[in-house]
Amino acid sequence: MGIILAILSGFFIALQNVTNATIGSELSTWTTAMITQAAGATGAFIIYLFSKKNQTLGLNKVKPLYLFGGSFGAIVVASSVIAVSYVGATISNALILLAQLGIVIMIEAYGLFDLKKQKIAGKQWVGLALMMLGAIFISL
Amino acid sequence: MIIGILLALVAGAFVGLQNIFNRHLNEHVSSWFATTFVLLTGSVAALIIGLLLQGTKIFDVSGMKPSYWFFGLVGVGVIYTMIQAMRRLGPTKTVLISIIAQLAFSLLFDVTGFLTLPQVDLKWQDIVGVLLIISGVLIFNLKKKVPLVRVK
Repeated sequence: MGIILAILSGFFIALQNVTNATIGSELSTWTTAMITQAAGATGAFIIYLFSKKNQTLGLNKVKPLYLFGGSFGAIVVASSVIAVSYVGATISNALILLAQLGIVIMIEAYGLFDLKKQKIAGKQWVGLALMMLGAIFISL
Repeated sequence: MIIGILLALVAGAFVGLQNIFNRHLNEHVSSWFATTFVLLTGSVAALIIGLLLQGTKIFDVSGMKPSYWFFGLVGVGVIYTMIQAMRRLGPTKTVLISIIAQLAFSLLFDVTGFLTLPQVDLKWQDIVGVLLIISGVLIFNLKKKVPLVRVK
């Protein structure tokens, strides 16, 4: 189930790249980010209203730091827009994927941000390196 | 050049952090509320930064088409499935599988011309890349009892 969800998330991200590019050709980057996420929030809220609310509002129990995940999107949009203007879309997309994988591997390997420590064995590094190389090739 | 590379790495690092932080939200609130919250704060952050950088131009929606509102719903799928997968697989596996799926579907969209009207031919780099990723997944799983991705 977890694997299917992860594959689905990849599907939605690929789809989002296409839809955001379509909207981005008509509206500015920030307007696109604002409108798409506002529409998404409305949609998710409607589903929430119909969902089983087995967990009551517990936002006050969340570590304040973790409330900022959503707003990181703005940093991501800003830095990638500038990055694209310097090195082009191809290189920035490849680097974004690499950094994304790199940071989660590091965070999980050291057990940062309240995560369970997950050691990566010697051979697995070789596998990771090959996957990263493959990702670079496809992004080219 | 260096600035561009650094900023691209910063962007990627924040994508990774964002997914981990969002997953923590789900420990105290339901998945759908977490998804709503993430998208709402993301929208507000875009509004604030947009206002600071380009002023009221952010409210210029003259090119807006009704279908764009529905495109926004794709973001719901992204956040919700990511939170759910993270909970089950942990960050490294989730991001790994998600990136591979993302590349595969992008390739598929390009080759079939799905949504992206101009159809793009498969390049040799793509085939090399897919082969590298498959061998990487196989090696990554060598010593593990539980398979990461079922290839085949």
